[in-house]
Amino acid sequence: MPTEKNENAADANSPSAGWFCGYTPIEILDAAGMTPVRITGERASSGVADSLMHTNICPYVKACLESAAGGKLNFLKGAVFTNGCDAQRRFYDIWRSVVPDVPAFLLAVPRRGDDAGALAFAARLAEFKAWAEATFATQITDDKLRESIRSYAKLRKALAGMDEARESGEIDMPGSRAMEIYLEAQKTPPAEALEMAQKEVAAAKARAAAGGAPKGPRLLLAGNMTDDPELARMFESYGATVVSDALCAGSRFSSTAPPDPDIPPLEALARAYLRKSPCPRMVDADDYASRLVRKIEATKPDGVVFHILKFCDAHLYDMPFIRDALRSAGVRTLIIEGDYTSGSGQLATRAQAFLETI
Amino acid sequence: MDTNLKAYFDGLVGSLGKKVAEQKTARRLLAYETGRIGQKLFDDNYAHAWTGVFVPFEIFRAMDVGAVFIEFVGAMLAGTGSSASFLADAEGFGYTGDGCAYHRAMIGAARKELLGKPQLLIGATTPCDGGMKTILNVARMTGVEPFTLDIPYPPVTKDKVDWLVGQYGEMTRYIERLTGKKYDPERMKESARLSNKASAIVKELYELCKLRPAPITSDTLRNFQIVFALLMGGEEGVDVAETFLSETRAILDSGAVPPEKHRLLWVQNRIQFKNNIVTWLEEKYGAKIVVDELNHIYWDDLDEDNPLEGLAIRQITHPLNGPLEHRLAILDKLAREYSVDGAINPSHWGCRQNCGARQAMKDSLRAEGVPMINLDVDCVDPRNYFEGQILTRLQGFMEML
Repeated sequence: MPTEKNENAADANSPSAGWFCGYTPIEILDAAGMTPVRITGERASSGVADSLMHTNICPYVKACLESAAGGKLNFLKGAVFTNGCDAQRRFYDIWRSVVPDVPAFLLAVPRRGDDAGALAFAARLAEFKAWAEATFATQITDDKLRESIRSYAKLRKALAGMDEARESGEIDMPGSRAMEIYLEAQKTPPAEALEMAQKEVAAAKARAAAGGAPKGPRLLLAGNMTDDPELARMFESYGATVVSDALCAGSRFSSTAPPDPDIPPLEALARAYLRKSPCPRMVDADDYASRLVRKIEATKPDGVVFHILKFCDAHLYDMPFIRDALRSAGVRTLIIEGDYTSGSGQLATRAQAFLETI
Repeated sequence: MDTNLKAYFDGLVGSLGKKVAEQKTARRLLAYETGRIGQKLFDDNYAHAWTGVFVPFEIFRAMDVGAVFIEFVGAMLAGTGSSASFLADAEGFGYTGDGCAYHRAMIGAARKELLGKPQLLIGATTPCDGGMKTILNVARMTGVEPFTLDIPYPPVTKDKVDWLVGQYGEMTRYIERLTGKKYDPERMKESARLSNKASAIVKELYELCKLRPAPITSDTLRNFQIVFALLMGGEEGVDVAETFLSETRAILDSGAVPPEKHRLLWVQNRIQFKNNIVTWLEEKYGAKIVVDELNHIYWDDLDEDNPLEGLAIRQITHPLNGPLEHRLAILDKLAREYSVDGAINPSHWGCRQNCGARQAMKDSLRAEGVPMINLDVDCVDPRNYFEGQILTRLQGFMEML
């Protein structure tokens, strides 16, 4: 489970830096000698986070805050936040009083992905790099950074290849397992993650060759910071297969194209990250819906499960338009607002009812 | 209020115009001039823009763009007791009820074409995600091309200022392209001059409010600066500012200063629909709101020869932009300078940037010796407002003071 992995990182005495938002160029942390660990939070709330923030704040942020307040993230040598959304911005503010011993950096990521936005982002990445150098007492040379960029590009390519193979049926890998692989890859040094992903794909290929194949309705799982493989597993337990995803911690992670090796590395990272499969936080929010529709057209799922964590303004404000785009694409859709807990009886009932319609 | 707002603004300006002519009071003049801004949304001599709340209205003024920010619409609908039907409409359309009701009301109003159709939609990435998303969604609904200002976070650096100034340039070209209005640097210079003049007067006004007792009531400067921003860069802004200042000075000179036992700071926005909280606080406890968080001139004068740079710095350093430390420092400063005894945060439901900050604000003010209460009110949606509960909580707070 995610929290256990965090503790494993501490046990292994591996210097780790935490990150939360998909717009964090983790290559910089890797180049600083840190293992970039994407933080996932506590599934059960003690109410501490509600008291520190508010009940109507993103449950993912509050789950991470619960972990932090409980001392479970003290193993981190640093933590990088972004202005991905208002909740994350406030998480940074609260973090500094809750975990004062773990240095924090707020990375302001532009919402405009044009040239000027990319150059502005490159300037912020220079600040991020300087913070990392000072915090982790190291020097991040261009060579180190380019090496990290290459490592993550290989990892992302492997994961994207895994997704394509799942979608085409070339490999036999349930969506729940793919989610676990993605999570692992975002908490592990890139070379290790690459090896792990390659082994998993090879095993899944062998299963497919032995006759294993996706069963039942083919589903696409979309949403925001939906990082619980149990959600996919629940649908799979009812006979469906999650063959594709459009999740922040899933295929959006691997959608960052390889940064241009012929321009300065920070600018290359800035351009690559701003052009990845977008979060609806970006100004060009229509890009989000149109990419989702294109994915549906390419994947041809029997249904889409759109799982959104509550209070996510970036997604929820767009929901009427996303819903219409999905209807226009002619695909049956189940929209679920989640609270970052691992399912409920009501959710199971809705899932079963949805699967009966397709 | 489910028909076009033109008639409403015409009626408002007509009746208030007569009253202002008979007796020019500050609140009356502010309402009159605000109504005139509303009229411009239907006046062909002006381009029509719906905008984010903290955008540089001086530029619009210099380009004959009649602009209102979307939260103004939500507040106005709540103030006239008509927000509920627009909120319900937006929710029926699929808008989450957990989001900000200022924005949801605006979506309902846009769907019902309450304000006609804008020519321009100009959003900004600050102060919140919801404001930017609402502008983009109205763009989808109306087919109007939007423009978004991406506001860098403090601290101010040259590259951030240059980037934002560059965006202002893009914005003026966007306005020119869509409306045919021209950006004239000389007019911008004049707009900056008038903005500086108005700001200086408002600073004087705020200085008077620091006196004990303050020569105002709790409602004298209700929603003041956030609405006043619409008038910045014009002669009307100067007129309104001067009227508020002279009226306040007259109260001081007359000796008829409203009494006060407790001085309060109101955090962020007021509750926009009709309620009795402020009157109850004044009458039962002699408590007066002497300062609203958003009534604060935090920026330096604009350089009239280079006004866009000053506007960029103003926007970057807005207290609600970026991480919380700047806002906390300003809240603490206001609490000290106005000698407040307590603070009230309505903690507007659906406002993530405020709700997520409320404990930090409370802690920061407490360190200054100023207790703060969070009310948990939706400032625009009256459907779940139970005044008795709020007053009970406030009673405990006031007795503690």
